[in-house]
Amino acid sequence: MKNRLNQIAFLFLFIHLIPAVLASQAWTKASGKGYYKLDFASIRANDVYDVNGEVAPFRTLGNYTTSFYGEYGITPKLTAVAYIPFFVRNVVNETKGRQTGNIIQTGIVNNNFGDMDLGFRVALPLKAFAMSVNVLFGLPTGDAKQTDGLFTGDGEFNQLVKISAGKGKKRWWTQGSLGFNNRTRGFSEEFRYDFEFGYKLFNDRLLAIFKLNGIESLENGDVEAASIGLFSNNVEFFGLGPELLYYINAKKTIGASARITGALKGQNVLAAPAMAVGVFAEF
Amino acid sequence: MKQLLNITSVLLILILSGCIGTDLIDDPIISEKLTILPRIDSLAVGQEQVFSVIYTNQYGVEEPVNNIVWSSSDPEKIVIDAAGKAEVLLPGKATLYATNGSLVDSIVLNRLNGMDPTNNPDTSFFKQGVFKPGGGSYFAKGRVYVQTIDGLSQIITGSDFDSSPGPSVYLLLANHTNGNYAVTPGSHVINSVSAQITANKLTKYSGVQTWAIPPGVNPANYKYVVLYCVLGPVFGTAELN
Repeated sequence: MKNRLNQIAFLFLFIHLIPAVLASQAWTKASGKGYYKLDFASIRANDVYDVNGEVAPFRTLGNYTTSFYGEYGITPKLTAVAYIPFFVRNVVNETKGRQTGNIIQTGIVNNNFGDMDLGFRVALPLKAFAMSVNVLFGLPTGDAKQTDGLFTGDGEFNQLVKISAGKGKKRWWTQGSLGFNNRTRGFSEEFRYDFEFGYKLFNDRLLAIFKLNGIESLENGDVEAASIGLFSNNVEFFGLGPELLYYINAKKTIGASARITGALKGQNVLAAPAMAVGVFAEF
Repeated sequence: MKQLLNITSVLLILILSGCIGTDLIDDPIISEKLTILPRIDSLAVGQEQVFSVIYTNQYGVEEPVNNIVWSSSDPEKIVIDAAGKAEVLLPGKATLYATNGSLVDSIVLNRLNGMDPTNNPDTSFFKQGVFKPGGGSYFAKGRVYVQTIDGLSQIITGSDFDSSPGPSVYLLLANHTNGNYAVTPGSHVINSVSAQITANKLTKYSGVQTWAIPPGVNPANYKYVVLYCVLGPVFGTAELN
């Protein structure tokens, strides 16, 4: 039972690792301009990629994260970035006997604040394509002590440094990033990467984007220090999926978004697609 | 702006969603079993007890069960009929069994008479008799037991005990059946030929009943149990053997 709870604890860490709400990582915002997004992401799964990367059945787990994401151009070369998951709801289904109808395990739920990411993006002086350095500080503002292991945060302070490069034309753009996430409290360090290709449609009001992202763990974590779970140091993930953004108004300052991200491979993560919808504003 | 509000409303609904669901899984398989109830370990001689059986299937769910076969390890001490109705005949120890196919449950009655006779060297006296009508229009019938366990003496009627109701019926131990007994309502009267067991008149005239034999009365000194009405008639006498 203890291991199962630890596994639950670990699985929910994955939620925090999805970088899909991050946007425009290669480009900095113009001075005084910003991009703000209210996002609702959900994952509901009854399969997991286990410690060996094999898909294994599990109690149905649900994570529903409501977050705010914002970018603001302090100067043309410096953009402030914030990701604030202000309402994270983790749910584990109750289990009921098929033959008896008896409740075998009661359901578990934890509603709490998540781990915030605060940081900045600095544009690098290249002319051929856009390039920037992103620095994000992962603050342990979530709940890493929930007794049933349904954490909404990992309890550690991490520092992600990522190099992003991108290039765009009138109708399309593409960008990619490679980063290193230094984690504390015995968690394994990680390489993170992502790539996207976007295309503009319908007079540039609809943006269709194909995204992929992944995490590769260095597996150098101190297991004994990982109090929340035996496997929590070695998260690995590779996922991809589409995202659509649609500008609602003619000025193209307000829009709605939807995306799906599925995991093609994983290790100690949920084996189900993550879906999200949101509204955003640019001004 | 209206579209934005609509989308925000949808988001709010989504935020509030995510209820706890239910996963159906196969229940753990356990052994089918019968359970005899009540789980008692003592009964008094003459006492009647109806036992029942609960059948639980491989998922631990109770289901109706038929064709239970009841049996006793020692029918001389306790008998049990097909309906699970048991009656203690003699003191001692016995086991009752309930069987349905390959399923069996048992209940060990260590303390027939209310005490464990194997650990009780004072189980020194036990006699029983059957009431016979005393004549006239009144009657008494059924079994009666007199026993001494651990210094406590009792008279116990069996489940088949039955008598005529009467206005002033008392239970006596006696050494004769001639109808002349000394009875004092509200107290015990003891003499060489009879002992008044019930200080007050009987209020129940059938079935299993237990009366304590007053201190100073040695039941071994008496030959009969008598149901006597102070108005004159003897309802019945049981000779103790």
